[in-house]
Amino acid sequence: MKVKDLERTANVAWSPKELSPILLAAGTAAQQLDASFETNAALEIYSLNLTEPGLDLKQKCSFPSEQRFHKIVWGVCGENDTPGTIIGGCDGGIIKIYSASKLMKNENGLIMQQQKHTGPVHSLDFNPFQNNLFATGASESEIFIWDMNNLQTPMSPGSKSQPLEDVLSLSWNRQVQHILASTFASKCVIWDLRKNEPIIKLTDTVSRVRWKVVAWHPEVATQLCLASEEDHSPVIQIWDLRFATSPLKTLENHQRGILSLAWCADDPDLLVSCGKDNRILCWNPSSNQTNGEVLSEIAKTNQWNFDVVWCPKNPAVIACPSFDGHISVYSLMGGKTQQFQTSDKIADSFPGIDGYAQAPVIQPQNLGPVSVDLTKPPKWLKRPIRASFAVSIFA
Amino acid sequence: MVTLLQTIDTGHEDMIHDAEVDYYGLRLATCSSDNSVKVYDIKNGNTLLDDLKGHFGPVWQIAWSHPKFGNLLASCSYDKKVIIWKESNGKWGKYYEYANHDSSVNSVQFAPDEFGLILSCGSSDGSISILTYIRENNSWDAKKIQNAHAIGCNAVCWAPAIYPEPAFDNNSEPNLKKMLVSGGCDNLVKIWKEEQDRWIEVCKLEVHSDWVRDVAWAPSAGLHRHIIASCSQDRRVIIWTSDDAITWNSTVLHTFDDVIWNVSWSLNGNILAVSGGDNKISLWKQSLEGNWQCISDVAKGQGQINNQ
Repeated sequence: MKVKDLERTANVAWSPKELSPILLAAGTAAQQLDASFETNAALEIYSLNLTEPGLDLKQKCSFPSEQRFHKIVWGVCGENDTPGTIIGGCDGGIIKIYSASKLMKNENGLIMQQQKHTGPVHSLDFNPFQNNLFATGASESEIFIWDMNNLQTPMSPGSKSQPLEDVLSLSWNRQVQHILASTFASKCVIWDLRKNEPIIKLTDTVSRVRWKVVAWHPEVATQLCLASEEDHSPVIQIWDLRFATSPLKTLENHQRGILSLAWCADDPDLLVSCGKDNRILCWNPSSNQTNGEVLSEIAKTNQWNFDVVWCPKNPAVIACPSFDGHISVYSLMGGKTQQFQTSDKIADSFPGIDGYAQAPVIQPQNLGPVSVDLTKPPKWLKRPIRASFAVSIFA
Repeated sequence: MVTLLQTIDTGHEDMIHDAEVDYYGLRLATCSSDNSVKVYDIKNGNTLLDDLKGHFGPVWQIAWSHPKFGNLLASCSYDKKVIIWKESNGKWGKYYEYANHDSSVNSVQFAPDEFGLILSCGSSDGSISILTYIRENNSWDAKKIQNAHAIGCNAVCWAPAIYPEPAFDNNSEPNLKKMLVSGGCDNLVKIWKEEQDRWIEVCKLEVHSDWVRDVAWAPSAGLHRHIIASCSQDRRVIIWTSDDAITWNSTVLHTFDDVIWNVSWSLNGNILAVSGGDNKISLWKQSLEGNWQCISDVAKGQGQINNQ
């Protein structure tokens, strides 16, 4: 059920679990043009404010930026109670590091800007254990590990993996702090940072996959999933590194390539994916059904959703930015969904375009309210303990 | 101070979410993720009286009605339904089924019997339904409070029916307003009042920083003071007090080590049972100075009886 909507074409990051109230950072997306053909970029922070009815997010602050972002992440680093650090990866190998507390006070929050990479920085991830460390990946197989305490010299996890390709996605293991997964289009390389070398390289030569995203299992240290954006084989594969020759499971339900994935940190039985078939699906990756068990189709939109991000503090909520210039926030807890017709802004700015062929948009068949629920209740609904009083009248 | 009386092996195949004893202390009903509700006779050995199957998803909560309405048991489940079961001649059967919610119904509670046979249900679709039994037509009337809580209502609880003090003007009718308290995933505790056939929000209590898991309105102890306990994912239990049910003051009972799932008042409103995620149940009582003190700690599994 869509709970909030924001009209921005931006990459998003949720505030970390320790922070309250829940905030959403949005950095103008690179490689997208909105209807006004504006190339101004800004990093904005919005408050989720679920206590207010209505679809709007409240803007807390906006800070202009010269470059637009390919990805942003929000991590807590340092002592408790700091609102954390927002890092954005931009074009030209630039990464920008902002202090969230300064941004929220409307001060210049840019702590530092580094340009060590060649090419646009596509992937970023904070280390969940050592929150002063984060990894960035760009083109030509460049991966750097940065330490917030010393941002001048980043570390490299080993020699660059040949052939040189764009690093599309990076993810730190959620159980073991020195393992990092990096995904290229044709392979996925797992690095061990203590030994500073790659330990496993996953390739799938059987199916034609072009990988886009990697996500580790929140609880099992050796499992991860990879999603392919290849339209002819739009699969999500779950791999276990102990049997690294072929995937453990393949989840196949998207009709076209998959653009992003997110694994719920609070309930490992929930995995959300979005793809070029305009759908956002929620899977149960632990089920043994052939082709994977789809728990629900969270939404069917008009345009591709290019990212899906799970809110760390409120596991019922996900944010999905889409190419039609909207960021939608959905709740997985069910309720009636209206099929919102988000207006195609680009078409609006060219009057008279209606007669022309538009990009094929899969029109929703019935615009009536659609109820989307997970067929299985998420872990956080299951109350494990309860006490109640009683009176016994008869002795 | 707390002694374990009995341990019952329910035979449920999955997690048990609620266990409630009826008004006279004769029967125990339990509900579980295995989609069933079981009723036991606890007076004469712990015999299983019936296994009620009718839900298609985990059953979250059950509630016994006041015995003057007959033996009625309400259950709510992830399958969006609320079922009221009735016992006749020792067998239980479905009396009424309400399926007008759009997602999981998380909480049910019967209203104080002075108001009649009324049931409130809180659901993950954010709305609260009030089902009233109309005796004249033998039917149920349903009213819905829409959008009570964004992304879901986790708990509902009725206020006790308090008779107002006899006013100087003895001819005025006693004003029994129905009031509800609800807690939801928007971190809010809300108080609702029925005003001429509609339910309106009296006030919004905003102190918790995470999902409110349970709310409980203390049974009246005769004093003209309302007390509500609320517990949350933020590991705190907050006690709210008010004289007029419109403005409330909050005190934090305690900040615990783990998520608190449930708060429940004893029948005379003195003692509060707090159930926490670390499998601990603690009992709290207000001292004469007004501070809340823990009078006991029941860790789950203590005092296991060997059932050979």
